[in-house]
Amino acid sequence: MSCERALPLLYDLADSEIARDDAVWLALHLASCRACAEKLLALQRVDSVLAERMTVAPPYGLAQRILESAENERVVRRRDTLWVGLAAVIAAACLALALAGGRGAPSSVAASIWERGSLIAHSLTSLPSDGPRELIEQASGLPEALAHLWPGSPSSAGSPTLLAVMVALQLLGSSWFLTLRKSRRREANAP
Amino acid sequence: MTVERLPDENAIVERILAGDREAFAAVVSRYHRIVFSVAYRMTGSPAEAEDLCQEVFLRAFRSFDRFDSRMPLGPWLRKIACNRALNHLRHRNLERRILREPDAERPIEDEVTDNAEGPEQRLLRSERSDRLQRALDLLPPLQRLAVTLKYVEGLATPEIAAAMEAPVNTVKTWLLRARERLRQELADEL
Repeated sequence: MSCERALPLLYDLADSEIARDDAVWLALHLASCRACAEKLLALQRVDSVLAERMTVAPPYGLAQRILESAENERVVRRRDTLWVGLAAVIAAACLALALAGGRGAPSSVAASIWERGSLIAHSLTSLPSDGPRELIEQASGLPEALAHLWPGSPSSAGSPTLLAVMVALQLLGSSWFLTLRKSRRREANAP
Repeated sequence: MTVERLPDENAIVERILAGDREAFAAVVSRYHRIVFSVAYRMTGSPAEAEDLCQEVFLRAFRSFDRFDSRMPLGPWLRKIACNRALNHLRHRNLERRILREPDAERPIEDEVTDNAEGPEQRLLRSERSDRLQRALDLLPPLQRLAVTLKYVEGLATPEIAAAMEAPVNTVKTWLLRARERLRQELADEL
């Protein structure tokens, strides 16, 4: 029973984490128990071997490779933000111009701007970037979705109020995309 | 981590957030040896350890905006390293590990850059390190991580408990069992 009690205290002693009362008890026990005294010596030798051998040298150039990965990460992050923002701005601009077209500009011009804007937004989705692709796809699909909500757009949607509402919707949508993207990234990168 | 803290760590974090590459390089330079050692002792593979080490620093890099810059960097990096190492072991393909050729990977000691060391000394150290690794591989992951943190970093039990988010008494039990096992496995060297 005494030796069973002594075993964890031997480790506490070796780690310098033993309580004063336990230390007194253990000292008395060690004075009368050769097996535990030898175990303490063996334990201290294991301690010494482990402390000496546990650390290993990192491969040559590892720090540099870590920094390069971080730099790539930084570049990709900047590019992603740029593309998502750009897609949203293009979509908003196309909407605004198309709707403004209904107030005077030839509808063929407005339709052309709408079409080109949609194509640009769609082409952004083919960029080799995994993270925001889904969001960009959503962004590029928004003008089309709004056009379905207001049949006849762009040529017939001439109301300044409607224009303001749609641009506001676009801005809200863009901000939602960016927030969602950021929160997804945070969830994915939680330590 | 118990290596000496970088001077003015909170300013370094601010600089990293502002896009200063040198500041992040200083953090990597200070802590990558310890993170790599923990990763290697947990995985037993230099290639996996390097991947894991890179992952730890990239996760830290992405998360600096949530780091409380008043706190020391070491324990935060240690916690990321612990989580990633345990997660890695949990998801490691067991089949791949069983089929892996023991000598297929480059011995880690090949990377040691100690010019004063002769080939025989290097070989001896390599054999001893491999033997320790084989003994560590016999331990359950939590025991292995606890004992690795203790000897790579020289941490006290409460610090290990904090890093592993476990009660102090539980960590004490892990350490006791791990060291009893290692004492038996390495008995003829002691």
